[in-house]
Amino acid sequence: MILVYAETFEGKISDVTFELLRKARELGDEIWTVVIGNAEIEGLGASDKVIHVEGERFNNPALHRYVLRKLIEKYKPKKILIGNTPIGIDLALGIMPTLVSCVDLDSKAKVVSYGGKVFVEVEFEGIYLINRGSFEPLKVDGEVEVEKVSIDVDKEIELLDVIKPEVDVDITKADVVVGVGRGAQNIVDLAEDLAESLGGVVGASRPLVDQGILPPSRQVGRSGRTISPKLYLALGISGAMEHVEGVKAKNVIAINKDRKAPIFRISRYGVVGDVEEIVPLLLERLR
Amino acid sequence: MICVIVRAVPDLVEGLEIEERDVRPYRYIANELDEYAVEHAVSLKEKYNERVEVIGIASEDAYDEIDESLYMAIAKGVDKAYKVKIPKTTSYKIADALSDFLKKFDIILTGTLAVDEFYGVLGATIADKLDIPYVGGVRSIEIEGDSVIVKKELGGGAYLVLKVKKPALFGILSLEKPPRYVPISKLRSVMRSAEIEELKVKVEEDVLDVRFLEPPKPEVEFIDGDPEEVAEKLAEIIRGLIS
Repeated sequence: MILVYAETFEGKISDVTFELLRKARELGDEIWTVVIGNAEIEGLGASDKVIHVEGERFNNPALHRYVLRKLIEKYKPKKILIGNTPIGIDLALGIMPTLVSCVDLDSKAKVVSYGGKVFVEVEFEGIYLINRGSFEPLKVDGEVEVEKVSIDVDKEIELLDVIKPEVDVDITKADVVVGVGRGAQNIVDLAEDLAESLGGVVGASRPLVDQGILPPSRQVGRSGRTISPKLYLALGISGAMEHVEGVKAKNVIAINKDRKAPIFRISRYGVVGDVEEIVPLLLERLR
Repeated sequence: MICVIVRAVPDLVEGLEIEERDVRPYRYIANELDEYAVEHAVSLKEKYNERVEVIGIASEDAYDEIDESLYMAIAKGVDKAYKVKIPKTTSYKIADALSDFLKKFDIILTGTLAVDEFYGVLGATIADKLDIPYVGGVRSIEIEGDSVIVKKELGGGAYLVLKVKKPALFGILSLEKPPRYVPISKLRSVMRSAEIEELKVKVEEDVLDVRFLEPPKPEVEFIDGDPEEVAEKLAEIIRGLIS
């Protein structure tokens, strides 16, 4: 039996869950999807059964690892599929081997590691933390058997508050996104001008947000937003897996000093060069 | 008492040699998120007068290279540094070996993930071994009596605020303010006076059946030329793509 962890937040099942269900279906084994906390159970028709662990207390995602641990002991699934997200990563357990940053699993599992610079193939069975966007979502409406299960958790982790971001600009809806990374931190203002001249917005990779140069609402990637513009212009962004997972652009153009930067793997056009030199010249021509 | 775990990892900027059964880095550095954990620990020391110890974990190849990061931690305010040599192994074996040493601490911090970590998550594994709560993706920590209040990142600027009973282990993901600056003179003086204690624990070997591969060649079309030419060609391509 394959167990699929339905990531929920504030009562809604997250999209990554449906991607996991697509792969689980392909693997051909019986699928049980586990929903923890109070959530509306919908779109899970690809599962043979839903295990629902209800309870107000379990609306706290930080407790899910302890619920999952008990479910593993009870049902002994062979494979557990979890989205490699800020919530999912905490479900790596000590009692069962966990594979992080998995992008496929058949006879062998495939993993992207070392900041996207190495691919790994490994014989593995256990918990798979699967990167977002690895599979097409499979959302199936319709009746599915739901078994309610009650679980006790002794760990004291209390959810005090959920802080929501202030959204100045919605980068998920833009047609053009100009992304700035560590290599472009000195030309953020030029990137803003470039974005404006193309009718787009500026997005950022994690380091620039961590340094407070741009607000978290601009962050593209696993711990940020997923963008799907016509054009993503990546300036000085190396393209670690964490970042590229959030890029679903039709066309990517990257400018980076390092010819081996992983960003070029998702790019249609690339320039090996210094953004500080090229961007001003590009801006002159696009104004 | 607080302990921080710092791992030596390949310096990805310097590049890697990928062989089928091995990845050979040209250089090792401390895992960046683990260094963030040191920052958090030092802040807790400053704010709550907690004693902070750090333990460096490094393979034979990186065993000397981890020293600089441990001395840096001491220069920032850490009270004591240990280090431990590991064979080719996994987080599970490291957790087995270290849990006895770590059980006396009531707050343990490390990076949420290391850059070369794909089989097991060290922090989560140690927490389970010690049977204490684990929260990863942490950005801020405050101590409140026998509990710890943490902000856990959900991405895109959203956070969970959690109250966790001590003892507990936290995986650090980010900092709220930039890392402390340590003048090189201070680091040098620490390197002359401070000592790093070698922790004598036996970490078992654990070799996985893995194959390392070069990532597939990109299908990107590179635009060559001098900067003026490149800008001209790029502008044309961009106009075509967005029209």
